[in-house]
Amino acid sequence: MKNRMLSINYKIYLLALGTLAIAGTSCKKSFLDQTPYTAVPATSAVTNEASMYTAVVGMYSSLRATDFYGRTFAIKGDLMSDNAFLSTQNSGRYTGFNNYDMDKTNGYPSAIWQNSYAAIKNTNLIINSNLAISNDNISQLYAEAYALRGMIYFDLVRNFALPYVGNENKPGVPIVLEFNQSIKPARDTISKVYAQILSDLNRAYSLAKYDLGSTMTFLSTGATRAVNTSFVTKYVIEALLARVYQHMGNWAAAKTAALDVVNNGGYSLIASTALVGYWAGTAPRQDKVETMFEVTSDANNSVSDGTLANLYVPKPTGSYGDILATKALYDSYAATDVRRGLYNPSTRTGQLGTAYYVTKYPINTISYDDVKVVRYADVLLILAEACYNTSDETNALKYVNMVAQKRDPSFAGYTTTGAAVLESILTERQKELAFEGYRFWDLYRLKRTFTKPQAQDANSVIVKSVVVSPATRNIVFPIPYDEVLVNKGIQQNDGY
Amino acid sequence: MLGFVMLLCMQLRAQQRNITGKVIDGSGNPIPNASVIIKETNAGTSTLNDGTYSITISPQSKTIIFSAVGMQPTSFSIGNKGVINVTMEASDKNLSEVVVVGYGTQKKATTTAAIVKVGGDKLENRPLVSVDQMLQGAAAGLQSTASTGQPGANQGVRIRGIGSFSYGGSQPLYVVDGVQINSGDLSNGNGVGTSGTGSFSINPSTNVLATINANDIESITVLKDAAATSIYGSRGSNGVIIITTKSGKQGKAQFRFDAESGNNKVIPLPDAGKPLRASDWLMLLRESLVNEGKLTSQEIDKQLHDYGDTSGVDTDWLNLIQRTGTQQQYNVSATGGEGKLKYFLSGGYFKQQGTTIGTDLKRYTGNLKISYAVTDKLTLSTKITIGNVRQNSALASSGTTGGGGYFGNPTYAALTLRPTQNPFNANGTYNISPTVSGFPSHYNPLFIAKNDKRWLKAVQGLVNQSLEYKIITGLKFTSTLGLQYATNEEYQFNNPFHGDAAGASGEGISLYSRNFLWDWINQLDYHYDIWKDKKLYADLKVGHESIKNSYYRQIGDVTGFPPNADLYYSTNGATSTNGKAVGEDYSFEGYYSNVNISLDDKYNLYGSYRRDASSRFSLNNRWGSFASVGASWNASNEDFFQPLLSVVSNLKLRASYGNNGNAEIPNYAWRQTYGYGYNYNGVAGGRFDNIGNSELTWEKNKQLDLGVDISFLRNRLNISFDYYKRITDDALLGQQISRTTGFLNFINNIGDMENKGYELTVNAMPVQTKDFAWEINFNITHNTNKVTSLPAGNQPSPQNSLFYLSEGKSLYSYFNRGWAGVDPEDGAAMWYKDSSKTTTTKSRAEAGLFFVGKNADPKYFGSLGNTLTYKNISLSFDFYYNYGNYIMEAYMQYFMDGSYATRGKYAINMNRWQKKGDVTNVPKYTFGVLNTSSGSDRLLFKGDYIRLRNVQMGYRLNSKTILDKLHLSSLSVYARGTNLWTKTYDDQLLNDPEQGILGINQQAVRPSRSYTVGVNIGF
Repeated sequence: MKNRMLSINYKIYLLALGTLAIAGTSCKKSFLDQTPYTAVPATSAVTNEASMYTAVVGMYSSLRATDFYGRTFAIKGDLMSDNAFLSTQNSGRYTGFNNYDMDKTNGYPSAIWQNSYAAIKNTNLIINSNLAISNDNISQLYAEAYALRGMIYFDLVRNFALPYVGNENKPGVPIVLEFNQSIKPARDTISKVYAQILSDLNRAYSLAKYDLGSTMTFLSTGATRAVNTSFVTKYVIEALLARVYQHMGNWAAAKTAALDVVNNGGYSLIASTALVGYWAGTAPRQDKVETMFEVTSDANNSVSDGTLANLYVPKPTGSYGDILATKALYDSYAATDVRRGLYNPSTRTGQLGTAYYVTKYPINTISYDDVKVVRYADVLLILAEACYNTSDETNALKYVNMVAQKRDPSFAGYTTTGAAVLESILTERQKELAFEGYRFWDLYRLKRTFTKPQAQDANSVIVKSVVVSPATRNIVFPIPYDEVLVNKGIQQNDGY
Repeated sequence: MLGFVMLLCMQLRAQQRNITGKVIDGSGNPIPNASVIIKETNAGTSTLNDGTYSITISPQSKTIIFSAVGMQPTSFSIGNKGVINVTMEASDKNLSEVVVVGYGTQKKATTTAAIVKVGGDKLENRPLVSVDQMLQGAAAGLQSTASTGQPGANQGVRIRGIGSFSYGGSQPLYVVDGVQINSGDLSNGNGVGTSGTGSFSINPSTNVLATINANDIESITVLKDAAATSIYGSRGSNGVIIITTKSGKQGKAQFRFDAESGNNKVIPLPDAGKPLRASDWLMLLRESLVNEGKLTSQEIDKQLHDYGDTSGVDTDWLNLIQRTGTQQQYNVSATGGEGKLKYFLSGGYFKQQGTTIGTDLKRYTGNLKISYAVTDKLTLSTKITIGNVRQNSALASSGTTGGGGYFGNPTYAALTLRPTQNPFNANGTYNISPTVSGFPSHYNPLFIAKNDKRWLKAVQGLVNQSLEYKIITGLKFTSTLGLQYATNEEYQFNNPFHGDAAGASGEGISLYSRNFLWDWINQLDYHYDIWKDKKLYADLKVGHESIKNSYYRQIGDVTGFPPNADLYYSTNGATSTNGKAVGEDYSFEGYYSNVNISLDDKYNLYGSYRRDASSRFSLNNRWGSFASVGASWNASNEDFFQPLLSVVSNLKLRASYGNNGNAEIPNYAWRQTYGYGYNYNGVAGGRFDNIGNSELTWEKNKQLDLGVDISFLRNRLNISFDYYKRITDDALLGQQISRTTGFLNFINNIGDMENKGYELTVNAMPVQTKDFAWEINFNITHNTNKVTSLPAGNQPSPQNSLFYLSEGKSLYSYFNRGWAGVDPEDGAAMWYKDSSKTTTTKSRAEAGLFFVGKNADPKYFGSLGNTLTYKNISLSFDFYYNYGNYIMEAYMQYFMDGSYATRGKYAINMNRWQKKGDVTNVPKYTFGVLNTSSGSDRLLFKGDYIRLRNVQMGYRLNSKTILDKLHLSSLSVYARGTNLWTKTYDDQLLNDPEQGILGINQQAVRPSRSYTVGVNIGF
């Protein structure tokens, strides 16, 4: 009996010893040092061309956000213009755009502001990486970061500030070129912002090394990158420059930039018969047909249902079908115009008249909506407008008709003269670029007063609308209230 | 060999003999179930219903010990007695009661802390899924509220107000049998501070506590003040809830069987919030179009026709999405102990069918607890608890409010669908046509509930292995290893025919997550008699604890299903769009000690100290120190008090002060990170995605508690009162920064908060005669929350943007436009221009945003319970009340006024302004006028209510002859009603007033009432 007791005591001591030994090892510092499996320290992000490429990919992915290039930019350009209105039966999205009733707490401006600066932060990380430009790959990656930063500042300043012409010294948006979590920046002037945009785009153009269709090979990893329309290439930068100059009214520069694309870019418009199929396509292209730059999505990397098709197209391939084209816009396409095929005149519960659904983005269900950001047709139309404004009516008509006659092979072409040429170009821009987010900006930069439709009657005649002038406060977004709360010095726009 | 054993047995038998006797109380009544133990051998038995016992003793037996609930233990020397009859004296409950505290137990008389014990009898056989639901009203200072009626949903529990800025961070710590478990909603990555992995909504709300069977719980202790919680330094700042499960009891095996069955019905909506039926709805639609004045009368007729004017359809959607659900539970347990071994084992089945279509929960639980005294000094014990829950959920968002405008959410759909939409085709099949006559936008919720899947299968295993070794008298070493293994399998199938995935030909989303936690505690307990004669002693504890949790999650998402809703598993689908896995870990380590010094149980001093570290803070600031002091004085034990004892039978004064820490933030938030998963064009991408904060450290919570426990008239009236003040310092909060940085915020120790208030608990026995007793339990809590410092300025609350944080105001202060009512002249909506409320405007754009002076946190809450007992019949009814908060109708803009006139509408719209002079709160009903209801304090309603939470009528069979005939030791039956009656105080209230901690109604599953009957059998 005594032996048994002893052996138990012995076991207890062994147990205690073991316990202490394990307890001792658990006190190591590493026990408390748990590191994430999905991230690395920010300081070790960009160290060579391969990791720079990873950062560039991350930068592009930030464009995809719904309240950014993913959807809201494009929605704003049409729903806040004379192209479209929200159906009486809708999901409650974008009502402030339709009603021109947005105050400083509205969520869309706030989200756009956040998404823009978050994307700019991603471009800054690459631009400020201090990686030496030791080869064409690194040069090209820098070019893409500069190009996107310029492009984002351009979209930011036109959303949150007055049109450039005549307002050069009015507040633009804060220019932030490096990360500092303590900043509370004031707004830089509109001219200063445009200068930054031009500087970034010109720098990008000088650094760009690859054209669409080429292949980059990263020597360090052996990985290759087929340069397709989901990335910025040399002539995309030139097209962006043309767009910026168009907004600045610098027509000579716009013409030079656009001509470079037209003469040297090698792009062409899609064949008339292929147009509807072109819009239904979901993959980036490597040929130089129509698309120059688009923000791409795929089955695994998407904004889920936050797509354009989700709002424009009703079930079953879309979802809400909230936003309808006006009858006037639909009727502006001749029966022989292939672009008519991008609409579906139909009926809708509770909607009086014909529901002119937009089917330019047909597929919502697999979130494949690629959003076209730069198209060749736009470059041609900018060129036409630049020619008109530099007193070259002949070429203005030539370039506008290149687009118009491609879409409607039966069309004899515009033959207007004088100021009417500009109206022809604007009409063609409205028809060609409808529901890609352009129309509002044409009206904005030209300071036009227009009638924004809000509801139609049984004959599809607009019976409810609002007149929008350059003085309407919603022409520019409010500086978001959540920004103002932490950045008290920032100047608010008029009317908010 | 065999012969030798037999011989030995015979010899033993020869030396053994029996002792018999009867145990009675002071009044001569027999005491059943009293424990009878031989000190030397640990042999034991318990008394029968007539108080008699019989025990076999061996020669070394010298002392026999009797103990029973509510009685003072007593012991006798055996000598050569054959019969030992005992009269036991009632124990002074206040002096002998032992309560569970942090890392041990303590005599209640010597505690210095604010502690509430909830006995297991209050938790048994409730028709509620999880134990946190049962805590509503059970303890002063503890707020427990549901935001959804989804069976198995998470329950919001707060102790002494809201002590942290984040929702998850304000939850109390749950400790089950010593283990600091992951609690709350562990699905979707909620609840364990996961970061960067995004949330994925399948089940709106789940609750890991739902896997624990309340019938297996011995008691729950709620630790409230610093003296009680500071020993949990790291995570105790928002209170601690200690759950102690049942253990084996010395004596012969006792079996118990409980069965309950009944049904659930939805608590009806207030009249104002019921949806309009067809004729009223169509009349209002017409009125809205006439008021709009844009259309001709023919066009209006056409519109009305489109919306079913002449169809004759009048659907009662509310009735269609609700049902009477069944409720059942069966529990069986066995407990006992002989000599060195004690055991408890149990099994349980629980089933609840929700009152909303598609919602239900089934649970299976098993529990085993064994302890074995290896030697006099060494005891080993083990516990295994397994719970398996299968929860089917309504389509709704995940998170703290659990509802949302999902087109298939039945609660939301029943309001938003028009009464003129027909759920059925002429042939009786479901109408899912996407055309005008069907469901072109919002879905037919009946079809969705029938054909979609949305389930959770949660398994939680809790295992404890512990070793207790008595080194020398008074010194004890304990090592406990606790494991929590919690898995969630979630699956969602959206059918290919109708609903969110119709266009994708169906979608199947699978989600698996696992939390594995280990918590290892090594502790020394030392009882030291400083001056034995004067009963001066000290209880000392030192310990070390380390905790590690590993989280893992995988997601799959597949579209393109065959056209058959029965083929719902995603392996049948064509296109896989997600199939990813991720993990996260956290760890804690701490050293702790406390001491309780007591003189004659009259004067008690307490002190605790803990040093704690967490992986959630940076290397430099990982360790925090937490300490508390407490003192209590049992004044009624003083000699000078003796003359008063006939009136004031007990008086105890308590005071404590101390601090605590909080680390409930995402696991890697302090690190500046460049994260991955930002892919594009099929290539992996990365981004600078978290600013981090290398200086980040513990949020601290300092608390003062002053309490008094006083009893009158031989403890027939007991009153407890506590005043407390909690200061949260260096609170963990995302500091808002300029968006131009590319970020919204970074985590920082900024902001201070204060909660102060009082708690009063009254327990009284107004009548106590031989046959009749009446017991009253009442408690009330008053709490005021105030944000006291916000160095980075006002900002939206991280919990919901409806609240703004501002110095001097409650954390849950609504910030919005001020609704000024309806102008009787023209029926236009009016708002105040600013907080002075002096000038009104009819333009929403001119309406100012300001603090509207209403909060979501209640000023007072508590409960009142009555139990009446006459002989063997008992009747109890418990009320819960809540006062002084406002709830928000987040979806009101869709169901109110002429905005969204084509959707279903609340009945209160019938009160709309119609002609000059009409005084009403509902504006002129005009089509498409959007600004009438969204974003103003018109959406806020008084959240005051009184609810009859529990009514129970029971009968206990006392006849021994009948029980013996049935071979039973006890038998009782009962009928119970839960949530039978609710009184509210806002005549415009649109929904049930209980809407969770945040008070936001987002059309979650509505709460229900239940009617159950049950039987408890002991044998």
